Parts: sequence; C-alpha cells; structure tokens
Amino acid sequence: MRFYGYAGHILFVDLTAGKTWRETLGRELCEDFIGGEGINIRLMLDLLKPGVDPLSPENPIVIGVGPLVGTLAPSTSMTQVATKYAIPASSDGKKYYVANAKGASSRFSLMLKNAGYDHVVVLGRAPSPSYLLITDGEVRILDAGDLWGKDVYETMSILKKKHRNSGVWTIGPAGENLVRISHGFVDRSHMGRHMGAVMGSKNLKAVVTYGAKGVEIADRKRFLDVVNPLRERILTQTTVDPPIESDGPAHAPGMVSPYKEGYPQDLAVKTKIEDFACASCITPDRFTFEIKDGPFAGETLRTTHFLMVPIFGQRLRLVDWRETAKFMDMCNCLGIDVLTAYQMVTFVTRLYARGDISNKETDGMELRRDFRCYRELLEKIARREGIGAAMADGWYSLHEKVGISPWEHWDGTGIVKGTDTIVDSRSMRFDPWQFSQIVNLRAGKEEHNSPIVHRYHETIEVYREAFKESMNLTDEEIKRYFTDDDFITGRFEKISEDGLAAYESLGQCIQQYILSCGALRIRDAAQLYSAATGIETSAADLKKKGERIWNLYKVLNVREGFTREDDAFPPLWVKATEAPARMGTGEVWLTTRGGRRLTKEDLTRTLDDYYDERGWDIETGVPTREKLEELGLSEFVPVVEKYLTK
Amino acid sequence: MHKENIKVYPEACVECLSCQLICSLTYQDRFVPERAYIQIDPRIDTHDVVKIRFTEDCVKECSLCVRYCVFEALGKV
Repeated sequence: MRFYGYAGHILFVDLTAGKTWRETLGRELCEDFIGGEGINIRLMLDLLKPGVDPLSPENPIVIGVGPLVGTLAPSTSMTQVATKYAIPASSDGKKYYVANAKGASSRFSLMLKNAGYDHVVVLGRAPSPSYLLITDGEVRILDAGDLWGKDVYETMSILKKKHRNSGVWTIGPAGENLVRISHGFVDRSHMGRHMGAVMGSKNLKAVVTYGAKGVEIADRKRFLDVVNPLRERILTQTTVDPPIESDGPAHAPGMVSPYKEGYPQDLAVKTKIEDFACASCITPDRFTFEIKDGPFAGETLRTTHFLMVPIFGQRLRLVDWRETAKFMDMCNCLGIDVLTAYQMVTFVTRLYARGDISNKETDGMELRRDFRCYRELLEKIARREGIGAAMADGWYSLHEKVGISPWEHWDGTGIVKGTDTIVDSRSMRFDPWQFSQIVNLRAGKEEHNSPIVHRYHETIEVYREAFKESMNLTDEEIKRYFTDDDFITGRFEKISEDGLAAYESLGQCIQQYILSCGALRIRDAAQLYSAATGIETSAADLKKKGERIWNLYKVLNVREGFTREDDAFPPLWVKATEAPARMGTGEVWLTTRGGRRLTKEDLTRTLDDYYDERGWDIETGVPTREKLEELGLSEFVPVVEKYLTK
Repeated sequence: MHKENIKVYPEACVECLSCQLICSLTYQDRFVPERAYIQIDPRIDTHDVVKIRFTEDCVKECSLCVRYCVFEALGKV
C-alpha cells in the first residue's frame, strides 16, 4: 500500500529486551482516527492495561506525528505523545489519568516522519540510562551514561552535534530523579508537561531522530492551492496582540508598582537575541532573551513569549526581572514544569511568611520570598530533598507535608485532578478557555479551539463570527454555542474539543487556529488532509473524527476510574463566590463575560450542558452506549456500562 | 555553492525550512528538506549563526526559495 502524507509505519521499541521492530500503519486506523493524537489514543487502548503504575515498565509511551507533519502546511510541526501521567489525580494516590501532550518542534516531528515513522511505541524499561536513535537507516538503543545528570540544554547540544540535523527530545535531571512535575524539551519547546518522570522511569534520557525519506503527497497542485493563500492570510491578518508578542510591551495585565518599573515596557525588545520557528511555521514564537548585566550576565532564557516573565515575577514578588528569568531558565535546565514550580514555590513561601507553616514542615529550611530561596527550592525538587521531595510528587503530596490544602487556602491555586490550572477563572472571567481546564482529559490544561480568545476586549459578536467561520457552522448551529451576550460555555466546549482533537491528530499547531485570527479554518484543514493523503475528507468528516477521538480518549480515562466527580471545579474558585475576600489588590470572583457573579449552581449547569451536548450520561459524565455505537466504538461499551444510569 | 542571483542574510533566518520544503517538493517530488538544493545548517548553541548554502544541483534560477521565505533571509539580486 502506498502512503501519501503518512510515512506508513509504526515503530515498536522494547527497552527491556533491547529489541525494535516495525509494523505497517493500517489504513483503517488512518480513516477512523486520522493520526497523531487520534492514533496514539487508539494504540494506548490496546497497549495499556488499566490500573498500571505510571512509573512501571508496563506504562507505554506512544509518540505520534500526524499526516500533515513534514509538509509545507503552515505550523504542522507538532509531535504528540501519550502515556499514563505520574501525577496523582486523587487524594488517595490511586488514580492517574492517561493523557496526550504535544510539543512544537523545529526538527523532531519532521525528522521522525522522514525517518519513516508516524508513531513510535516505547515499552518496558532499559537496564541502564539510554537514548533512542531513530533514523531512516537504523534504530538503536544507545548508552546515555555520560548524558545522565546533564541538564536539558547541555544534553540537547551534545546530541545535536553528534547527530547532525537531528531532532531531539530530552529530559533533565528532574525527570531522571522521577520528579512527577517534570517534563521534557523537544528541540526548542517544552513537551509533555508532567511526563518527564515516565521517561526517567524507563531510563530513557532522550529520543533523537533524523531522516531523508521524505513525505509524498497525493495532489500537489490542490495542496499548494490551499497552502499559498493560507500563508498570505496568516501574514496579512492581525496576529496576536501585544503584550503576547515578544516585541510587545513586557507588562502583564494588572501590573502594579514596583513591578511595572522592574519590568519596563521595552524589556522584551531590548533583550531578545534569537528568533526560532518550528518547521513550516511562518509565525515563530520561540525566542532567546539575554540577561546583559548583573550576577547572571550572559545567561539566557529560552521561552515563548516574554509575557510569562512579568506574570511570574509579580507573583513571586521579584522586582528584578533578571531573577525571574533565571528562575524560569533553571526550571528549563532541570526539566521541571515552570508553571507548577512557580505556583508551588509561591504557595509554600507565602504560608511560611504568614507563620502558617514552620521549619517543622520544611525539614528545617528557612523559607523567604526571595530568589535565593526559590533557587534552593528548585534544586531540592530536582534532587527530591526535604520539602522538595513532597513538591516533586505533586499537590496531594505537598498537602500531606504542610497540612494545608492548596486547593482551598487563599494562597493556593486552582487544582483539577491533582494538577494546577493554567489560568485562574476568578480574575479572568469564566468562559470556554477556563472551563476547558475542568473537563480536559489532560488535567488542568486550557485547551480549546476558539480563535482570538486571548483578546479579552472583543465583543461576543466578534467571537461568534470568528468561531462560525473557523468551525464551518451554520447560523442554526452557532445558536447552540452562544447567547446574545455570552458563550453557552458547556455546549461550546464540546465542539471546541472535537476541533482540537482533529487538529492535534493532523499535526497542526494552535498558532494558526487559535493564537492568530484563526487564519486556518477547519475546511482548510480538511482540504489539506484530502490533498496530502488522497483520503477525501470534508470539514464535517473531520469534526466527526474529532468527536470519535475525544470519546475514545474519554473511554481510556473512564477505564482508569474517572467520572463526573473528577470534573470538579477547584474549591478555591468556588470559595471566592461564596465568601468574599480581598486577594492582592482586589476581590476576585467567578464571573461571566457579562460580569455576572456565578454561583455553584451555574457551574453545575455548565457541566450538565457539556455532558448533554456530548451525548454522555449527565449523572456520571461517561459516554453512553448510544454515543459509542454512533461513533463506531461499540466494542468499548463494556468499559462504560457500569457507570451508565440509563 | 555561491548563487549569483540570490543574496543570503543568515541573521534573518528563523529555520522554518519553508525554502527547503518547496524546493524539495518541486525537484524531488516529495517534501524532504535533507535533499533540497538549499541547505540550512541549524543553530545549536546560543549565539550560533545559521549557515545557508546551495548545493551543486541548484542550477535553475527558479528563486522559489526566495518567494517562500517571509523573513527576508533570501533576496533576489
């Protein structure tokens, strides 16, 4: 069978036995689940036994690159990776979710496709530190003894020099030490928030890939007839507004003195020294910023947009931006998730400052709200020492250590399934972006498919028209997702997720369907897929396949015991609606876009709407028999049966 | 190989590989950056500079790479 778009093979690697083999990619898999995330999830269902310890050799890692990866379709550079995450998702430490993460790469995804593989399944555990080399000529499990212990950047440099033009995915010392809040880096991007420990548990330091097999497409003219005007639209439509652009002002929303002065407006422009794009992307958002003076002179921060620096800096109470940049850089080097790390560090140091905890809870460490303390905490997390060991094992473990719950205390944060949320709905209004964190199968992650959602000043009419265009909806259909002045959040989430699943299965980065003006529409993606693969697919087909993928993804997690009770709103968010309190410079509330203060009942109704729109059991939040049969997934009905109330 | 009709500004290159993708699609009938007639030697460490070079096979003056570079790393002479 000749493959277009696809490479045509799945590579299997058994690290325990030291064996590798490949299988042909089935056409039915492609037609039903597209590729990337979709096929990753389908493979996980067969490979992963329920109840497996995520840090055991029985937990597989499945890497996938979708059928558009390696082509000129803009920003199709995503690597998808699925596994059972090592973050305890319940207070008893027994539940762990299965999720699919992604990373945009300058070369990794393109090279994996050019090595001849759409998916790589990693099984078992290597007997000693190893790295995997996957090329178009060979697949080898190589010794990583001299890389073990090295930080992310040093490892990346050594491997990229040793293996010319390769793509590299690596973990840092934190992942090696099974720090559960660790992650990896793929080329210039984070990948796999909180899955670094899974790689570390396999003694797998890195995956390196290179190839020159190429990607054939079925209809070149048709493909370029979509790509060329799409590139034009991307370049001529307004892209993300400042301050998200690296050249925009450094100020985060709501900055106060002295932070406003410590993070001047032109900081990003003055310190940026490098721009990087991912393969096929014409809106690069990987940058290097250089600290030019002070104790960290000459050091750099590799990140996406500079906006994170002032946001973290103000929360950490670091007036000197160079200290914030160094904190973030340390997280990158060690391979610790910076989003979780800065929240945990903030939490424990604030508790200590108030006298709510003492040296007894910190194993003798004096905590201060300053950079030196933060640095020491990061080092302790990476080495699993003292209070760092509790932080390394996630929020439930930290709760047990300090005796104060981070999901209820005012100095805590929103936590869903053991994971901190990315955005806090109390201060940013409650819309699909916030709600997605509750029901996303990758816990706490704000993922959706709504263009321009970051532009908070827009009217609901603008969002409605943008989404209608983006997801190819009729006037009748759009009424399911919007009222005159607001999102119907729960219902909107369903179609947003379906679109997201489709894009992530194609290999498409959010750059072009969310962060810009939504230059890429689902009908463009359908055209690109049809032209690349020769598998004729409409926009409606793509949405349906996305729905199928999301339902199967849900089944995978229902099998691990996740139901409606796990889709719980963070107690801290709800606490603010019931008991006003001054937080920082002002009160914070859950509100709608219209500014109406939400109640618990409003939030319950949103979840009801979501499950209803999905065709799931409203009481238990699992796919119904009818929905699975409709999607051609009847073989999985036995998984959900015990949770169905009808 | 030096190209008379193309000026190179490596400091503007962000390594999107669009030039390689269109070149290889045109002349190799598939997307294969490693076989494109324009080669991009990547930056690895901070302060590295991209190297852009043309292979001996680049004999037609099609300037496709120039057209597909939106970062002005390539310019027609």
